[in-house]
Amino acid sequence: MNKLSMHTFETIIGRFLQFGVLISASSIGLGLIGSWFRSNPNGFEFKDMIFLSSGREIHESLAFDSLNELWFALTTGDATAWITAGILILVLLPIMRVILTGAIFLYQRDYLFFGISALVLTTLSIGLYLGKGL
Amino acid sequence: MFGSVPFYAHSIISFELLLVVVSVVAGFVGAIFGLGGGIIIIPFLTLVMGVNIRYAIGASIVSVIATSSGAAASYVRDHITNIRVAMVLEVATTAGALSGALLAGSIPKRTLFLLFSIILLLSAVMMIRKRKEQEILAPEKCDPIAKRLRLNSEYPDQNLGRTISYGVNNVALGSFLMLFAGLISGLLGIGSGALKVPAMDSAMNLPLKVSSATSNFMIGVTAAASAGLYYMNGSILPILAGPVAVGVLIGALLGSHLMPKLDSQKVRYVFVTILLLIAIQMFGRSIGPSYE
Repeated sequence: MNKLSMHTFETIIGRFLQFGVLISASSIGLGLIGSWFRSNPNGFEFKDMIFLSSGREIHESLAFDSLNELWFALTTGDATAWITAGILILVLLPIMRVILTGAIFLYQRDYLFFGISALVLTTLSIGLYLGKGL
Repeated sequence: MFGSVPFYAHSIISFELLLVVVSVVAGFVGAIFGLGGGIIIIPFLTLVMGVNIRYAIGASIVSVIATSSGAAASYVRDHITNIRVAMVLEVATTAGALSGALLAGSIPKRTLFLLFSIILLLSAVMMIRKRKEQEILAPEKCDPIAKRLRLNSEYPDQNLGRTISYGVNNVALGSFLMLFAGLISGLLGIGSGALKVPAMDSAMNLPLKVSSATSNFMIGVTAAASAGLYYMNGSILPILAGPVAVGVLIGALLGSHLMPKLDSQKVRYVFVTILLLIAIQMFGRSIGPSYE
């Protein structure tokens, strides 16, 4: 292993994941506390959360349509936006971990494993892309 | 149509606090037995709180990422995780997970309940099976693919007080099994570590500790493949998924710290009994009256 030892490599990835989880959990935590001070977050009828075995679908989407919209809601202190941001960070975390791993493999001139990382990243991107169309 | 509203639905505080507390317990128990929290959180949300299984799956998949990333940090730091093996197998798990999440929308809810009860049963069997003394594969006897990919490695064994070198076998079979594990993970919103660990320790000859740590490391990426899709199609409700993710994370961190101090044998049988009971309940839901 040239330049960067496996030991350092593993430590970098471990720290990165730990840091990401901390940021995400803080954002969700802030949003949760914020939501206690509002009876009706995001115009959403709270009792709808329970769906008492009715299995009925939610009519209102709770997701934000664009990052701009989410960003705006974050700046206004919207509780749901802070929770959503935390969840997004969490979902993006493994994806960024794959990018980071790929970059380290490239730095080590391990082109085969750089290719494998790229393949995993492609699959992950397809997931995001297909989800958008649904 | 709705009947009376349960106590926890009267205020957002009681609802969220209940979710967090239950998720802490799920994460704690899951970490002690090496299972994800999803296997407990999904039955709880659907059977007890009456949440639609699609949203329960959405909430669970987020908590799977949280637990994996939270725990991976310490495993990776202890140098037990085999990152190269993880990367190779992630090609298969992500492809499987993506297919699972795509299929989930068109599979009847009854079938999801049925599948879930089968996975619960498998996990229970996994937990009580006798572990025979595992033989470590000498690195020079490994599979040619493993040699070409340089998958053989070593890890510090704290019990034996020395570093163990090991070889990796059956990479192709392992990848195939991972495709299946990923599919189940994407379909049901669980980490499916109960399938990943045996695929690595039985099929690929990885030492048990390396298998668990590497499985935990992979679970996050597997879950992310389907979580992206679930997020985009609106199955992940922030108010449900947020408290669950934070709760499971806290529980998993507590559980992994306490794990070495616990005498787990008795607790194990209690937990297996609980798993079997949940399996029966989930099976009942798959053949019982439909609520749709």
